[in-house]
Amino acid sequence: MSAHEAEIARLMARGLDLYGLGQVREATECWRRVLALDPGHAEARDFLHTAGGEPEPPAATAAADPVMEEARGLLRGGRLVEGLDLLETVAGNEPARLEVQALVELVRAALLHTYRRNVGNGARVPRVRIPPEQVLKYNLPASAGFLLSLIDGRTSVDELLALSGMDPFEVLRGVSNLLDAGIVEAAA
Amino acid sequence: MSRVIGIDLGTTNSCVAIIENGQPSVIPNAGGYKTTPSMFAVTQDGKRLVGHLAKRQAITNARNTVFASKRVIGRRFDDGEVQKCIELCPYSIVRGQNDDPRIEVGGKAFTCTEIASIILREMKRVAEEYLGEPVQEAVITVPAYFNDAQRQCTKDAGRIAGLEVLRIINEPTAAALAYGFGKKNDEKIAVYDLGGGTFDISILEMGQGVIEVLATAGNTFLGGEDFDRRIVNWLIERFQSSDSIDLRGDPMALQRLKDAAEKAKCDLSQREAVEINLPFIASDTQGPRHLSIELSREQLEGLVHDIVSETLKTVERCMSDAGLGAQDIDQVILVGGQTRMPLVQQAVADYFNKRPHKGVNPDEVVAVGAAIQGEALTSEEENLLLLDVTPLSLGIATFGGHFAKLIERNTTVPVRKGHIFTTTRDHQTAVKIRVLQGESDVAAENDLLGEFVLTGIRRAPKGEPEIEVSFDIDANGIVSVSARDLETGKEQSITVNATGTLDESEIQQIIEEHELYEVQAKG
Amino acid sequence: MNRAERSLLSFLDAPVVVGDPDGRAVYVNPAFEERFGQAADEVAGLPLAELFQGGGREAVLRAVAEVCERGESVRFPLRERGAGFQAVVSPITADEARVGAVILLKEEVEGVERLLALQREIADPLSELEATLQSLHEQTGGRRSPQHRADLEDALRALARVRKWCDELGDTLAGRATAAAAGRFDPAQLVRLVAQRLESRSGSSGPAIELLAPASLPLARGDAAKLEAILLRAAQDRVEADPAPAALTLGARCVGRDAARAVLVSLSERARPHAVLAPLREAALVAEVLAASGGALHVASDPALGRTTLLRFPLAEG
Repeated sequence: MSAHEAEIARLMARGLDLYGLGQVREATECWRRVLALDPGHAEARDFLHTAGGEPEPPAATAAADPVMEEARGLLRGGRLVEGLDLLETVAGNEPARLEVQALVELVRAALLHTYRRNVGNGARVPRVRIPPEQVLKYNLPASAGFLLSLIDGRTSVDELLALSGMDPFEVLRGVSNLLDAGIVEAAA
Repeated sequence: MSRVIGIDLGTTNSCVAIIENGQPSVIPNAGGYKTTPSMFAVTQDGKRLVGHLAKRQAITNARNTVFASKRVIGRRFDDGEVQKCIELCPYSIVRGQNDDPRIEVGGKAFTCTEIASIILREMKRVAEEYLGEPVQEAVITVPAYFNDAQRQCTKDAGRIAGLEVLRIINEPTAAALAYGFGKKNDEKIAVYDLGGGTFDISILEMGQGVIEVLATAGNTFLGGEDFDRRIVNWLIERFQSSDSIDLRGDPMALQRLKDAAEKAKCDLSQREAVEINLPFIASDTQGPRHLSIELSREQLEGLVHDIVSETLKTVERCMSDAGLGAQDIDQVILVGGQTRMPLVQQAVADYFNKRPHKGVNPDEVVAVGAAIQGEALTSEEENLLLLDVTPLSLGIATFGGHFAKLIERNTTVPVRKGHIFTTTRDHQTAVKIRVLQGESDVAAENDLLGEFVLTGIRRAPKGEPEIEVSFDIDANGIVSVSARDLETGKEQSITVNATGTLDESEIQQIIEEHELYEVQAKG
Repeated sequence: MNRAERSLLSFLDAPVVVGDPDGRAVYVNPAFEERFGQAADEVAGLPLAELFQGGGREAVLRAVAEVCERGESVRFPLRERGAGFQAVVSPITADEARVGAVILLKEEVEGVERLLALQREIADPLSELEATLQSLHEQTGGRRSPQHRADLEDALRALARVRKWCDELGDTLAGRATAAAAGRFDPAQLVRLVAQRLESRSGSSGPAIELLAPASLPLARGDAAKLEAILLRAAQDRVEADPAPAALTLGARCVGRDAARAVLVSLSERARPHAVLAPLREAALVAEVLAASGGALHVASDPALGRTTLLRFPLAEG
């Protein structure tokens, strides 16, 4: 993606953020900037129309954050898992950055369905398919270690969701990753 | 004919037993375990869990998991024990409309009776699954020091669970029954009960089917879980010094540590050393970290010896209350899973200078005793029919805040005593009677069971009307009161509803509500 | 009523009813709806009498009539649907300078607070009694008989004991009242409650509600009832704004370490192609409510994914 496209995408999203907070004037300002960069941008015109603003020349633009731009780029390209990884790294280092945390939430909500599809029916019972010493070779997070301690070949995915006390997203992501890595298999 | 089950409704674990072909048999649950954790939880999606499932998520879902609710059942909200629980328990305890403590989980406030009924229903289900037929009758055990309100709540819980409670019996009494004591000569028996969350010591005198509790003492906040906690803390410190990561703030790690500590502790009763392995317990920038630490029996004993010494101090106090020395005790019985630990067995043997009985599994012995009593109550054969005694004196508050004892403690139950009341003012048509239980001469220092107003008294000069009030304590230790005007013969029946117990409509409401919920339970 | 007036009333904890000069309801705030189950659009135009039950109905109507006639506030205790309230009926100038009424129902203080107030009532005359006896003791110094002196000393000692118990009672009650009013809540429990309410309101026709929260979280600081109302209203707005509702996701999680730890509560909604999702209603006011307990509000959008409204709460100490 070119710098030009990235800036347009950033301004579109920023406008939506501001509009969501009821700051309509500031939001329309962002979308006007988009139209200044790309006068044929249909979505920006639609948004401006909804917000009741007319396309006018915009004021000077603010500097963008390169890491966030990269994350936004990944999301635009549909690479949600990598986008979330990057966003979670930024959020872990700077937990007070609410714009990052909010984006993390948005991607989690979208990815939930992917993981749920991957894990399949909640009645499926996962079991560990490789010996414990082989599991140790993997680079797993502590949450996966905890899930592994609950996976006993008798407890279903639905029961894992109830028993773990964890956020359902973390359970489904954990089980999905364990299935993908071939550490765990799930019987119907 | 429906079978009678014996249920040990424990603070930490519960157990159910039955008599089959004349032999007591402890019923395993679907997971093969003979005891079921007395735990109840509501998960984030509103599912209700009970037993082992509730225990598995007890730390990661601490605020919505109820354990040890027996500590507060039948007590008032302001009771010191309840206040201590509020301080120590992760779940929230709030004041109920009857001034009783209620436990809030999953956004709903449950009465302690309701929680107990959920555990009892689970024990009933375990028995029914095993027997392949419905079970309707039960004998349930309670600690010897339980008062009327606590016994009444336990009985109500049985009813809510769909059980007819044939008898409420004392836990140490049930343990002694399981060993077949008291059939012949008089014997003095010490019952040392170290469970998961509580410690009780009771000195019994048994003979010819009558059992007297000479003294009882204990600590409701001391048990096997304190042993587990010591192991967990030791593991955390070891891991922190080797890997520089503090696991205290991580509920997932703590849940694994707690499970591993409990298992290691049990294994160390059989073995000299165990290896505790918890892979992927934490991770940092350098990758995943695994916990792998060896714990020996000697190390474990070093970690917990002061807790064991603490129990012996309580034993000493109880013996002194009973006016006995160690040499006066004929039999010593060990009850509770924690007494499997060799250190505990040795300490008790050293104190009494006698080898304690540990033939029956110590965490099953109370349920076995309850089943034996259940069989005796329903069988036509001549069996030992237990006659218990009242654990506390019963009486009324009199003028000036004094306590007039009408039935002394250690009176064999069932018992009925009458008392003549009269008026203190001319033309008085009603009198208020406060019924109390306890040993203090000062009314306010005893437990208030309830109060009632006797109405419809004939208008007459003071001191003239005579009303006989009869106090009954049934075989379960539960009190009821009735009144009769001696002149007219008119009778009035009064139910003593102690603070914290439920009335009939509340019980019915809970029964209906519970039918709506599918309690998930397995293993 | 203008928008600003409605906004102000909507954030009050106490139930409020606004009536016009003809005795018809004009508006009820969300606290009223929460408490009595009738929303503003359901009650508009209804006679005020229909909003209350039993004996309370008569009392309210009498008070409204009096207020409209005299133009002065009236205060009276009211029992409504099993709870006790202090009702305050105040005049407001409606259209054509005629007088309407605002009925504010302030819930009666909790048992503990009432006991605390009583304890203070008792403590005051005790102090007076103590001072009077002390003065009597000093004034009659040399003129007392031994019996008189002994009696006075006994009375002073007894009074000192009562005083000590009264103070102890005050300390105990104050401790409880403080804990109850501490304003702590479990954010996981909060989102669970909101999800349940949303589902029960919209039934099968509503959007699927996904809940992304662990079983419990560290306690956060804030007024749980107010936050629940804010979140519920934001979610309800989304449901109403979308004719073909997609899934809504309610989330709660803990972020940060040590002093920087905080809890985030979120409401995420899916994007609709070429349509901009309606802004969060009263965003500035919501931000103010959050800021009052040290929290913050943020909204993030993505044209392809949708929008998240994020509420941050500081953790409660201890």
